[in-house]
Amino acid sequence: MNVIEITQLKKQYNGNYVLKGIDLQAGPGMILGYIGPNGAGKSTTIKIMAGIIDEFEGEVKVLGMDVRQDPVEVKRRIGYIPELAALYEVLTPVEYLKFTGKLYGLSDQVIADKGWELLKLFDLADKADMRMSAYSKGMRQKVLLISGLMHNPEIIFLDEPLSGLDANAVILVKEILQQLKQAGKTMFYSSHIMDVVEKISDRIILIDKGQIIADGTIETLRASAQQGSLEHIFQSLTASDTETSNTAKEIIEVLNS
Amino acid sequence: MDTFFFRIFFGLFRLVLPGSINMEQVHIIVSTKLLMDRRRTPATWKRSQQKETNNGMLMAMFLYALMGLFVGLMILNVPSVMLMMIILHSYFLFMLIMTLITDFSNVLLDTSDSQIILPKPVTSRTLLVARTLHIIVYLGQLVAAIMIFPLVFSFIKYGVPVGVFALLTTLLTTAIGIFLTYILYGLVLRYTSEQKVKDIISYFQIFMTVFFAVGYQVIPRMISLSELDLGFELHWYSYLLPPVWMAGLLEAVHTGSFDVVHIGLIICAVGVPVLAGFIIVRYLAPYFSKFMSAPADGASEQQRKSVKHRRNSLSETWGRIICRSDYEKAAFSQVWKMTGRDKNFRIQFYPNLAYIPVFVFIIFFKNFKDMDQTMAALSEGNMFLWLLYMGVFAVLLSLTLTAFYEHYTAAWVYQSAPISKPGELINGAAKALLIKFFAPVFILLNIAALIMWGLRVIDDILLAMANSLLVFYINVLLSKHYLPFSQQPGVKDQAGKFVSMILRTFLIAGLVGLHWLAIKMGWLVWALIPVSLAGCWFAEKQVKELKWNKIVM
Repeated sequence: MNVIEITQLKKQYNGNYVLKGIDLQAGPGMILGYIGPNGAGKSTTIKIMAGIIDEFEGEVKVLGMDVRQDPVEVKRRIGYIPELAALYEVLTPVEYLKFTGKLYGLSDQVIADKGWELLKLFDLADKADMRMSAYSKGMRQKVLLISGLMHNPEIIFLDEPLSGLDANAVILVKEILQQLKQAGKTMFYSSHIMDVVEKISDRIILIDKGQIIADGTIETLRASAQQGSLEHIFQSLTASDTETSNTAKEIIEVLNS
Repeated sequence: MDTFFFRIFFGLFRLVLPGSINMEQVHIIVSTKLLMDRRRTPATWKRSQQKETNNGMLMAMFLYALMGLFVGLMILNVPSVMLMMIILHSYFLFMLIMTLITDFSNVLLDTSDSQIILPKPVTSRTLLVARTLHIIVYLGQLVAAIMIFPLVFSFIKYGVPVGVFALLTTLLTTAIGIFLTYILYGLVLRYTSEQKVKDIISYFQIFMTVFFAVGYQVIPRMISLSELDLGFELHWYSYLLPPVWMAGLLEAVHTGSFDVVHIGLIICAVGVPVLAGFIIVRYLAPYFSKFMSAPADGASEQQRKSVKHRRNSLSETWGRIICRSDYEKAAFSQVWKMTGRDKNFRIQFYPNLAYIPVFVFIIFFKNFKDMDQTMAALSEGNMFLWLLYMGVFAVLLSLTLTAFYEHYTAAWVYQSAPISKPGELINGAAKALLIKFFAPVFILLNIAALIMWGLRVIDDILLAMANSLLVFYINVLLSKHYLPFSQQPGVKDQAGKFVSMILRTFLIAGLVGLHWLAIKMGWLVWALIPVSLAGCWFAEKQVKELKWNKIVM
């Protein structure tokens, strides 16, 4: 059974289509890499699946539920970790986790126990009573990860989850994602950092200008593009290869003039 | 105080609302928001540079209550019910709208809700209830703080019936205040961007701070003024103003006269707020929540201008005229532009500028009485020295403020760029402050002096200008040498600040004293001008040649 089912998803802002007909199915227990250049429509797709945007054309079903009809139930059973997310930074992480935990209907006891354990495991225990306005970007990202995972969701949407994290934390998060996959959960992972996507994803979806231009494992993508790394595949598929080197050349010319 | 209101209204909401609303979620959302309100520094309190406030809200409420005490004391003194109640309700409406605009914008225009709460399993109805409850609790505190003393004094002076009805008119005026605020925001949002709104709000905040500063000086003086029996008449257009309706209602209750005029006023006093409340609930609130939950529609259309053909800005024109080296020009236009754009600078600086008229007022007119006599005595004496030296106070303040900036880490460019003469950066910054903040104030005050005292003070003006420049430059030399916008606000140790302040005060006092003595011998004023100018030239040279080891980073 598919946990994500998208048919002919279109989305427009003021007459401009940012998504031009996305079709996508995904089963349980896998990591999907969702990559594309800036403005390709990655975040919009994720927001629609997470039930945050409800004005779109087409059908979107998550865990068998229509996201337009049951947005609250969908939200309860997924985790959403947005890019550069806002959080209430005058709160301490403990207070913030209590806040979000209660919105998911967790009991005070569960929040206190789980939240504290997770903060300890993410190496934030000694700063747990500091207001987050004093936190670094990576520390905030850890809090966001905890708040997105604490209710043990079945599908997790991650939008650039590694931004700002240090090397150890990156390894930790990658390992967590693998373990969650073993437990049968689906992760939808959107990122620019291609070598990470390449390593952890079971399936990679490439999106450009609101359309899917490639979909498959890293091996099938390699075979179709006859080139090495995901970065090269990406360039050859979006036909930006020669264009980019031309731009680079022009930049050098301006610098020398 | 907020927990008190929260408990009452939460209980009320729980009784009234249907079961489809998740009251547990409402509880956690509102209590978290109240916690954050308590930690937020209110706009009127921002100047005290404190980083983490534990209960800024309570402090602001205390301030409002104190102001209310002054107004409440007026109630005991003003004989006419109508006049006093018009004053009271105008004051209340004004305070309410100003506070709503400056502080409550955080709640009304909060886009973080849509980012943080919307992805969670919360229905939009639950969120709407939570927001409404939050707004009601906030308003409850605010109204209580502003009106507690005036209401108590109304009970004391006019008895229970008027007191009870004053409570009612307070609620009615609150409805009108919210309505007007919504309309104002709606208009602004309709025609400008969100960034513009924030700019506009920051100007309101400045205005609010000034109002408080001036209010604490002027309102206590007005209490004695109001002992006079002021005769007043209502023009036809005053019947259009909400405070007049409310006052009419209260006067009718007090005197028992229910004639046509009073009944008309009562109908307005009750009818308009009810109508306004209906419009808010039916049209305005849904419009706002829809507007706020819409995803930000990307960057609005930016005007593209080629860098080459851009029009020269004012700062660059001035910079070219009075700065010689490139370092000076760079610092000049940086300081010029950033002092105009950094919200924190504006909020701290402009209210202080507003103290100048207050000082002038206090020095020249001890109170409102005998104004004619004071004016007549003025043109005889040498009081104009006060006016002439007022400008230097303004610019000295800006000097200490330009060192600080929220994103102070951006100052790394000073260290990475190949700067051989950091003193010229400081000199450029100093010149920008002089042109931007000293010149306008000085010119304005001197025009005033010329009008009052005539051409005989022209030599004094010239000497005052030279002395002001000298004082300013000596201050630049004496204070710690920070590059512009390079320091974290509120962190640097304040040690030694007191000593240098004493020193500065003596310096200014000394120069003013010298000037005052020189007036006794007319020719000496002219003679001192070149001496003072030479001092300026020397001091400026010293500033320019400051080395890196003198600069505090």
